[in-house]
Amino acid sequence: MSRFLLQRPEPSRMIRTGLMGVLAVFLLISLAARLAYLQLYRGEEFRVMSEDNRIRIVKIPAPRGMFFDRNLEIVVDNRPSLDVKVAEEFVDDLNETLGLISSLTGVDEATLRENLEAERRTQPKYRPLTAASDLSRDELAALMTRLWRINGVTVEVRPVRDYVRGPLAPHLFGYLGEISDDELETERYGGYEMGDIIGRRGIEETWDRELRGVDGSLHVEVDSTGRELVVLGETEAVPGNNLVLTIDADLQEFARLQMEENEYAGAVIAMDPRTFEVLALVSAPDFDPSLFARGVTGDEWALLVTDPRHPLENKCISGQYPPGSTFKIFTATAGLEEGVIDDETPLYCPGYFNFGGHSFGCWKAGGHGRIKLHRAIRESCDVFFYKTGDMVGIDRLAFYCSGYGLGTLTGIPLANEKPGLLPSTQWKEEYFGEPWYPGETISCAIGQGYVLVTPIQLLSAFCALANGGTVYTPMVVKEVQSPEGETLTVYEPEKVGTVPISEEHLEMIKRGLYGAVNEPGGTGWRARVEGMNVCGKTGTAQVIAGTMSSAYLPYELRDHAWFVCFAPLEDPEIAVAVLVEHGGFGGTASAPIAGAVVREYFRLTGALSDE
Amino acid sequence: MNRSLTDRVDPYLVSITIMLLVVGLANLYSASLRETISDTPIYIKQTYWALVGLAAMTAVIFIEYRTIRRFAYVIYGANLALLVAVLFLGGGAGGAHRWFVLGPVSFQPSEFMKLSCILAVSSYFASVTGPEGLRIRDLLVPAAMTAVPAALIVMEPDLGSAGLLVLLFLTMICMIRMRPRTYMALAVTTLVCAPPVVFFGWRYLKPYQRQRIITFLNPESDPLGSGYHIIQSKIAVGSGQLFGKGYLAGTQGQLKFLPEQHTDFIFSVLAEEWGFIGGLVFLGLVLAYVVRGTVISREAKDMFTSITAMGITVLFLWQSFINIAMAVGLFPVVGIPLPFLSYGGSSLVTTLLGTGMLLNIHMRRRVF
Repeated sequence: MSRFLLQRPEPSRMIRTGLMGVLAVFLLISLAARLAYLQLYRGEEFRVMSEDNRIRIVKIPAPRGMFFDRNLEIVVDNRPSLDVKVAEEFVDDLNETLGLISSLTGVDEATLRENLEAERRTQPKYRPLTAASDLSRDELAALMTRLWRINGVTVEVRPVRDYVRGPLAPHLFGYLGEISDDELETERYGGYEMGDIIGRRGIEETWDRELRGVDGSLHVEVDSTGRELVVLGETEAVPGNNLVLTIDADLQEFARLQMEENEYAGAVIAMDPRTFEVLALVSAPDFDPSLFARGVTGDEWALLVTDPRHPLENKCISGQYPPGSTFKIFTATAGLEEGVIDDETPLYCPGYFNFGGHSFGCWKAGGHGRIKLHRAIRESCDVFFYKTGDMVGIDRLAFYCSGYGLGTLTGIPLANEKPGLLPSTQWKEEYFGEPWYPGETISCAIGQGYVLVTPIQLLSAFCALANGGTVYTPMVVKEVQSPEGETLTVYEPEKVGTVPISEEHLEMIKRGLYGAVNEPGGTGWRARVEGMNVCGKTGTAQVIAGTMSSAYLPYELRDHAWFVCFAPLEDPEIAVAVLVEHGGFGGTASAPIAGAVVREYFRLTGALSDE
Repeated sequence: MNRSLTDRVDPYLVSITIMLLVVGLANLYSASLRETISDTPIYIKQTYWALVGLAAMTAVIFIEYRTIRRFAYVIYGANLALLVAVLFLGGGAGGAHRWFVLGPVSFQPSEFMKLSCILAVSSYFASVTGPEGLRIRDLLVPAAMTAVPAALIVMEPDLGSAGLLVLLFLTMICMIRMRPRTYMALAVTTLVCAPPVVFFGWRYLKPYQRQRIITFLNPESDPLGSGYHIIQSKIAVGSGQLFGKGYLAGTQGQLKFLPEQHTDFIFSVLAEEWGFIGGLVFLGLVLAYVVRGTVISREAKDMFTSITAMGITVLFLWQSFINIAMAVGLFPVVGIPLPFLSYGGSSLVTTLLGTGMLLNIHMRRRVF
């Protein structure tokens, strides 16, 4: 039976084959339609996506602008740093890869792991992480030859800062770091991209846009493992502009060594009182800026931020201290201008001043006796200025101080400048909600109490005194130059204001300052410079109230030592402020340094011979 | 006798097959151009497999189909045994047991099972079909014949191949004449069973399998993870535009953005380099193959050969469709090879063996 059936033409065949044809045509047409949609209708879009897929844009960092000192000597330059990068998503076995890198470069495997761990915390996903940075060519040679066989590992060249003269002025120069997510959000960094290296602090930060140049790019064809195959095109990087600084590298180095050799913490600033050009700016202790150039490690960073002497802080502009006796020139100004004293007004110093049931002592236990302005400045008599301050009153005192620029930012173009504190009745009302007590004026009159100044503020005030009463904004950069050396911008002194003091009164104070250094009994005699008329004022800023001699106190409770001076008396061209934290008496710790800097300045200009 | 038989070899199907083989090898050459993992380039390996397959195809031509039918159940049984064995002895990527590895050669019994199953099912249908069509109980044995190997393949696990076997069976019975009551019973069963199957099926799926389906429905949900394959494949296909990027010049494929480009996504390489035109030509070849298979099925001498020819053709059609649909983002990624194009010896040999069967059937067709 089956045989018969099989031989017969089978009626369902036409249906079956017909169905198959319909199915085939339906399925294949739907595929063709899909192809048309993807390739014709959306083809352009996918073509662009495929281009993006295979072309990776590699940033060529622009060489950052160089720094010259005022004599056009290069003080900050660039050099290449060779870094080993690991793109973890392309690495098959991280342990094996790190082992390989370690054996080829000689860098300890634990260090590599540590670096990656630190990077992983800070870097966004899908970006190669730095396993080792700033390796020498010798260290890299073995790795370079095998690089093509190690998935996910590349060596990148990154320009880093080369500090030609070592840690010459790390606080002034600033350092570099990668831009943070928060910074990217701000208007200041509009146009910056993730991964950009930006200046932090100092000149690097303020002039970042001038210095950074325009990064170039390399269009590289890559495969999906991220391996670079062919360079398709290149846009060259445009180097950043160079800066001519106002500092004198030799004077800067000299001032820095003065602090370093004495192991002082504090600040030394030298400025030209005629233009307010900063000639030297030292904050001690300092740090090695090349740490940041190669990438600071966690331990090094911890050491820097926990150091009780705050090496990262720029004490010149961020440190706020009581001005101590240096403040007496402001009290003198107020007294003279308000007419409560003149240079012939005798006041009596018995060694103390009783006010409101409290006795304010003079540093000289027996007192100065009958004393006039010149001697009061020279010998730094406290009682003379207690009495003058008391007669003037805090608000008039504050008026003249603000004329010198105290209580506000000097406007030095460096980040993190602090304004200090200039008290007044209004200030006390607002801050404490309490009235001003006249007794408080007494301590303010000799630079204690609420008054706080930064070294740059105090120096600016002395510069104004030296130049006849004009306050300018301190300058750290003279010129912006193109990489070819063309001058692009020249910075001129910018006048901020005038001290409300007469020529005559100015001269009286200056002569007092001259006496303090050069006359017998002057407190600042240690700043004396042979052949140069230095005018200066000592200051000892109490950390705690008391009369005990500094040497018997623990370091952190000892007084801060100030010395501020300018020279020569006739036509001042340099002013120097020195602050030694917990240095004790100003005349002892700070005056010699200020004097040495002044002497070095004139030696460098040729006004004084070597010996 | 042999002389007159060879004169009757279908020139169309032979030409189509040769063209597909050439396109497949050329395309595989491009896909593996920058592949440096194995010592022997894989297009060379595939050429060896093509030669083996052609030899097998030629051998099959000369075997009397009655002999094939006589051994249909034996072949099926043997293949079933291999499927069981591969679960214990087989290797494969990621804990799977899909292949027998014999030195440099590996072979995948599930590929051959597709053909064995067609033979066994056809043989059974041919022996039970009456003039009124299939009864319901006639479906039970072939259903089991499909279900058992499908279950074994699921355990490998290779859900795609198992599903393909079930799909093949369903398509075949739809094309065989059934009694009206059988149609109705099938329709009702489908309606009743579908929801629970979908529900429990979903729960049975492994997480990565579920992920594939979720990803298929919304590839952008995970562009660097499981959606990566689909997105990269669509970019490859789409960026080919009308004329393609040129042979060996497809960036997606050459730069290895395309995953699994020798197997699952081989079509994307072709579409990227040859564009819409090339894609259409390839679809035309697929259609031509199916049309020849259909004609051979219609002209076949008896029920067994007709159903066998249809089964082989349907298998070819579904595999081609599913693989391409996957590459263009119309179907989830299931790992079904594209006949003639995908790299894989077992698949290529199976396809050529099937083609041999078609040629065999065509030679012994009824002559009017």
